[in-house]
Amino acid sequence: MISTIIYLIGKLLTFPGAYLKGFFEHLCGRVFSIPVESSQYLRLTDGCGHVEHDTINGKAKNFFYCLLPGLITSAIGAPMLYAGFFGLFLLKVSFTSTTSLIFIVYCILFYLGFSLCANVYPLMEDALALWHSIYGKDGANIFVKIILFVPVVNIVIGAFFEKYSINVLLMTVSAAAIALFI
Amino acid sequence: MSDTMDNKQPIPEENAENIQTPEENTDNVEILAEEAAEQSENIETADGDISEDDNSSSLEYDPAKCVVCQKNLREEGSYYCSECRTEMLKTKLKSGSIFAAVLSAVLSLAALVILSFNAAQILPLIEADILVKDGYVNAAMNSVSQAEETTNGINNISFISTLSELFNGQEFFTLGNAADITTAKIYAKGYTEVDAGGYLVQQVGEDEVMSNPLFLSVRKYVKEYNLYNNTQKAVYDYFSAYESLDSQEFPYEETIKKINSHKNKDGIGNHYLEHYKCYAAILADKGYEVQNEYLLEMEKLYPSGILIYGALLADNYYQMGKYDKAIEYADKMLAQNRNYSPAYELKFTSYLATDDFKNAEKVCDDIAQTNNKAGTDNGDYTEYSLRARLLWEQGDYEKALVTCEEGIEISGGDAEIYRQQAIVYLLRKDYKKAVESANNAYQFAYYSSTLDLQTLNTAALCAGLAKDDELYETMESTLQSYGYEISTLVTDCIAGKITVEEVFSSVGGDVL
Repeated sequence: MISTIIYLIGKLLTFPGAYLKGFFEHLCGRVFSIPVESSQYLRLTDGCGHVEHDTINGKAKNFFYCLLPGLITSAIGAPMLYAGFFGLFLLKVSFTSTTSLIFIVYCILFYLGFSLCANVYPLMEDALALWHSIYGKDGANIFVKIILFVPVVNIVIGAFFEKYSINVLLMTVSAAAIALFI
Repeated sequence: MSDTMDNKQPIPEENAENIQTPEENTDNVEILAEEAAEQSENIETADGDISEDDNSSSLEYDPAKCVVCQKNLREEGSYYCSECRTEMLKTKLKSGSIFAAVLSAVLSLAALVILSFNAAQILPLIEADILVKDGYVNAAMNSVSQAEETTNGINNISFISTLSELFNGQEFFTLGNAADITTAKIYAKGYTEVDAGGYLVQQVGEDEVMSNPLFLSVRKYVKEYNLYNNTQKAVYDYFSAYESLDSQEFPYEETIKKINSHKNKDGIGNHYLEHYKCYAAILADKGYEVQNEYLLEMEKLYPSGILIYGALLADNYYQMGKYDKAIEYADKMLAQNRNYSPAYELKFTSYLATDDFKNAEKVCDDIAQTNNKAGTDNGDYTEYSLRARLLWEQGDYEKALVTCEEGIEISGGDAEIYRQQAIVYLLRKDYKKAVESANNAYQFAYYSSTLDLQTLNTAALCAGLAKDDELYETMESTLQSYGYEISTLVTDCIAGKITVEEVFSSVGGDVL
């Protein structure tokens, strides 16, 4: 229950990213012919920011379903995050009469980028399903196992972090530390 | 799949015990399917979604059936029946969601453009940070200037300048506080933390620095600046009344006691007190040993302030003939600021004093290498004056003159290079040319506010030997206006008591 509340707080704080992550999961579901239950991406459940879908048959499908939506959100979010971060925390632009507009732009970009980059990983259940499909019984061959080890471990750990909003916390602390000490 | 996948239809508590696994309930599947079919005929498919039944709580949940409709049996390996699966494969992507995704992609592209401009602004600042860590202060300052130029260039792009006009002169690209912070860090490393604090107070304001968390990394400089000012205020009166007095009359012991009374007080820097004690020792003419005692104590308390006490400490060691120590402290200063000319000069003269011409030349090479790092002309031509001196010290007057000419051409005129040229002419007994060069040295030093005793005395020597009374009198009166007399080495040389060679072969190899 507490973990769900923490998860929901993380998702609500980063709702633009959560919404778009859900959308891209849905899109990938359509592309890979994975049945998706609903196009309601923001729900007050532990599936907030994701879509309910049927079991995924096929290792490749499973892998790309876990990877691609996050890759798209991070590809879209990273330029916004870095543009906002550079402006606010490296250039340290502050709100003055002549820089108010760009300050607001940096704030918006930072928030949107942050929210997108905080919604990169799949649900823990999907991540574990991916792990089992590659490394479990009837898993992939040794070559695929080696090649995919780093990304799959990354996905599983990332999904765990997102489940407890640890990623949001880590990103906030890192940004604050860089802003204050550089 | 979420945790909720199997709980789409809430299970009434009274029915929970009836739930069986698919394996266990194979006999009951058909019966349950019929019941479920009767009770769940209201699957809505509005908007392409499969939504839950409001009366679902009244249904008995069957794990063998489709989690959505609870009507048909699940397909093998699926949570859904084929009918629902077919519907779910067509679940619509809402137009609002597509619009949001497209908008975010467009924003991302715009952010990419802003990011590339920001990167162009930040890179020189990062470079400045790296350079100053290696002690390349001038090069670091040049990098900050480069960042400012880049920012101006970006703002002058017609599209951006038009936007700026449209929004009442808003600055779209600015270095924000980063340029001030980087410059303060350069001052702190290349000069003193007091200079850095003073710069921040002047440029940003003390309140802003102390209240804005973005300035956290440079707040210590403002604190150091305040510490210095407080200490100066506390001890200033002990010196102001005595500065014009003879050293015999300066109440040294009493002043030291008074300075000590401020030790460990709030807002007072004990290390600065040591510096003022050294100043008292200078006024009381207590000698280099005593002065250095205080400076070494300051070093213990404030090692990073080497550029406050280092030059005097090294010079005192040089005057005491402890050339190794002088070189050691010159090196310490150069580790912080490779562009610190007085340290090079001290090191150079220390090597010359021990006839170590090889290392003296290496000092000149180091200056050249450091200046090259800056990439642009930074107004420091010490290399030429030192090389010229090295050459005439070795008796190679021709090469020394060539070096002077080269330095003068590159610098467009530099007082110290002209002075070295004058010395070479003096050594060659060409007093007419010596006067000309000495006069140039005086003019350049005068207009660049870098007049010093060496320049005035060298010009006086040249004028005296060339019988240029007008220039001699000008030098004499200028020295008197600062409370000095022409050096005895100069007057003795003009009087014929010693030769020019003897003047420039004295300890320090100069006119003082």
